[in-house]
Order: sequence, then structure tokens, then C-alpha cells
Amino acid sequence: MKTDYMLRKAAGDWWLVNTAQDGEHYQKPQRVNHSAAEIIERIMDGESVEEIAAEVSGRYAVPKETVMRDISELMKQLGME
Amino acid sequence: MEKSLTREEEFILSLLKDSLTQNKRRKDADPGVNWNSFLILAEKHEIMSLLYDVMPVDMPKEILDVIRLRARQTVQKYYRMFFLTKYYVGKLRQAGIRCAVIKGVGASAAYPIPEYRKSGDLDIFVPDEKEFPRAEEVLSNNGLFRDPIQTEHHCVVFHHPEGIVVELHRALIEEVDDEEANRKLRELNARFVENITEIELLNNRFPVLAPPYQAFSLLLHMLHHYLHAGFGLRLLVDWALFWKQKIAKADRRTYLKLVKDLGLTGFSEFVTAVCMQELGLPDGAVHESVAKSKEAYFFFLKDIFESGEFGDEDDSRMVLLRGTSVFDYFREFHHQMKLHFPRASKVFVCWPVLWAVTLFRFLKNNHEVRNTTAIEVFKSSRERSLYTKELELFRR
Repeated sequence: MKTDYMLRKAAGDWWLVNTAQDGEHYQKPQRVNHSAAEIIERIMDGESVEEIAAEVSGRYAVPKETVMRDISELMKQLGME
Repeated sequence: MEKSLTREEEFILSLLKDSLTQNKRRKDADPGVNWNSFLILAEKHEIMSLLYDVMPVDMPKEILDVIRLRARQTVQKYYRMFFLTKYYVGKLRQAGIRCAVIKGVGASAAYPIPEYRKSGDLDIFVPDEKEFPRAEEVLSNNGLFRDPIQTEHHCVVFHHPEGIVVELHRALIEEVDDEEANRKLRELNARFVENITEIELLNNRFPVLAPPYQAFSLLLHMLHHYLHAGFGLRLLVDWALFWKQKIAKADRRTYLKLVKDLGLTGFSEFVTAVCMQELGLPDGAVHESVAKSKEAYFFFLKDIFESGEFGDEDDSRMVLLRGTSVFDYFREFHHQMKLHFPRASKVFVCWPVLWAVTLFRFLKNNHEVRNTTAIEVFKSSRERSLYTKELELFRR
């Protein structure tokens, strides 16, 4: 998936940075937790939301639809839709 | 000046070395370290973020928390400076102005984690004097306010509404008290124009000086601060990390020739010696040999510690003399006069009046601004100058 975003690790945190911004209207990087960073990284690597949701729902015994909704919500919050 | 490094200074150096060499094996906390003093020292030198990944796990939690908070703040500030740099460099380039980012984002490219490079200001270099007025105009037209009081001659200071200082440099350094060196530096500006290259960082490209000239600019930056109030560990880290990169032999030769021509080989060797000894810079990365007397080396290192970030800690440290004779004092005084009165000082009959005004300002500023005395300033300068001879500044 081609994206304007970059996931960076610094000072013990994960930072999602919109590297395509022009600098005039500054968009602060989002600090995200480890689980969110893992999902974002997989999306950036080209995995589909459905694939990720299936794996995460199996790992944590959560309905797949719930995970899909959470991932969509996360992407919306981060402006990554 | 203390005759030995403190436990805190030694421990900071060993952690910095781990950080720069990416040594993943965590040290145990040194029980002899006073953690409050340690924090103050790390803060003063603005290297807290570099310590974050190498801090001993058994150190007090409240100290770890402070370091983590500071590291996080440095990262946040870095991103702000990164995109602000992108914006203003973009504006200048759109206007066809050839510029290079110096220090800041440019220096951070050599860091294993660029976000750990603390930046306070944004520094942009426009080496072509003819393009400089237009560059000032571009910055003024794009949200920056020109400071009404300009105290430096090698750069123009602007302010961003968020309180960030943007310095537009016409030269890499303020004029020094060596006419030949100043002449050579002015001539070099033409070469800088021809030696702007690009680096890629976080999916963005920035103009910077080509490696030998970038190294030269880092050295001049240290020299600039060294000649005035001193510099701290952060600039030393910039130096060590720059040379840890793969630098082509031809670039290294060009750099060595530049410093030789300007009479800065001794200074370059001292800085490099400290980086080799304390920060893990490999032998031969810059100079073939850097043999220095133990005493001078120690004083130089201690001076760095006592300077802090740009020597703001001790108000009596304002200038550096190149010797301790009456002539050295007078030379520095005369140089200060010329810096303060660049135009009037060209008319030599005015010199007695300008000396008197300079002396008056010196005494007044010591008392009112620096809250110190002329005697303290002289004492501090003399102490630093005792070992300066070994630097062989401007000796060609």
C-alpha cells in the first residue's frame, strides 16, 4: 500500500508521521501503542484489513467484525483511510 | 577548573558512547553517581534523548521517567522543526535561491535515530551574497518576522509565530580575529554554492552541503562557539556521528585540505581526539594521527563539560584568547571592536573612540546583562587560553 505515512520508533514510542505534509499546516505525528503500530505496519506492508482482522480475532478470541470495525476506526482517527 | 572528571561526567560519556556505537548491552547503574547532578548535566548538554535507549534498567525510576519525558519532547520538537525546515527550504528553492540546511535536520541525517538530534533553531545557509536579499524577502513574505535587533553579522535572525528562531546565514561563521582566515572564508562561499547536494530523510529531500563542506561547517560551528563561550556535548556528538558515516576518501582529503588552509587542523584534531577517546569514533576516520598532550586534552574535554550548550552556564565565559600576553588581550579587544562597528572600524582614525565605546559596552554588559565583572571575564578567559596554544588556531 502506497502511503504518505511512515511509522517510526523513538523514545520508546511509535510515531505515525505524515511525511508528505508541506509544513505550512503542521500535522503532528500520532503517538500510537504497540498493537496499533503492529496493525498499521501490516497495512502498510499491503495486508488487507480483512486478513489482519482474521488473524487478530483468532489470537484474542474476538469476533472478526469487531476487529475490522476497530481497525477502520483506528485508520479513520489517524486520517489513513 | 576541576582537575578530574566527575562520576556523572564519566558515566554520561560512557552512556553516550554506547548510544553512538549502538551497543545494546545495558550497563549497570553506577552507584557512585548522583542522579540529580547527572540529570542536570544531561539537560545542560541537551543529550537526554540519546541516553534513553541505553539507560541502565536498575537506575531510579523517577530519573528514567524524566529522561523518557525529555526524549519524547525532543522527538516531538524534531518533527516540528523537520517540517518547518521543509516548508522554508521549499519556499526558497521555489524562488530559485540556492540554499543548504546546516546543523538541525542536516546534521540529524547521520544519527541512528534522527529524531534524537535536539534542534532549537532552524539554520539555512545562502552562500551566494547576491541571492541573500531575496532570501530575506521570501522568509519575510512567508510568516517570519525579522528581528529588529540583529547582533550577528554572519546571519539574519527571524522569528516564527510559534517562537522558533530561524537563522538565515550568509556565512558559516562570524568573522574571526585573523584577516587571512576571513578572506579565505569569504572566497570559500563561491565553492559552497557549487557544492550543495541532497539528502533523503523520512521520504523527503533536503539540500545540504556536500560531505567535506558539511564537515567543515560543523567544525566552524564548534569553533564559533568555542571562540566565544564554548560548546557542549551535542556538537561533539554531531561530529562523531558525521564521521562514523562512510565518507569517501576524496571527500576526506578535501576536508583536510580545507582545515589546513584555514589553520584549523589543530582544532579539528582536538575535537576528533575527544570523539575517538570518549565516543567510539574509529581511528583514522578523520586524521591519521591525533597525538595531543594529556594535559591539554583533559582541559579541552573539561572545557566542553563546563561549557554546556553554547556556554550559557557560566556568564564569565564570553571570549577566548589565543594566548595570555598583553598583545593577545588587545587583539581580542580590537577584534570585538571591529565586530561591533564593522563599517566605522574601516576608518582607522575612529579607532580610539570605538575602543572607548567598546570598553564602555563591555563593562556595562558585564554588569547589567551577564551579571559578572570584567575581572571574572578576564580570569575565565585566561584559564581557557592557557591550553589554547596547543590548538594552533589559524596557524598555517
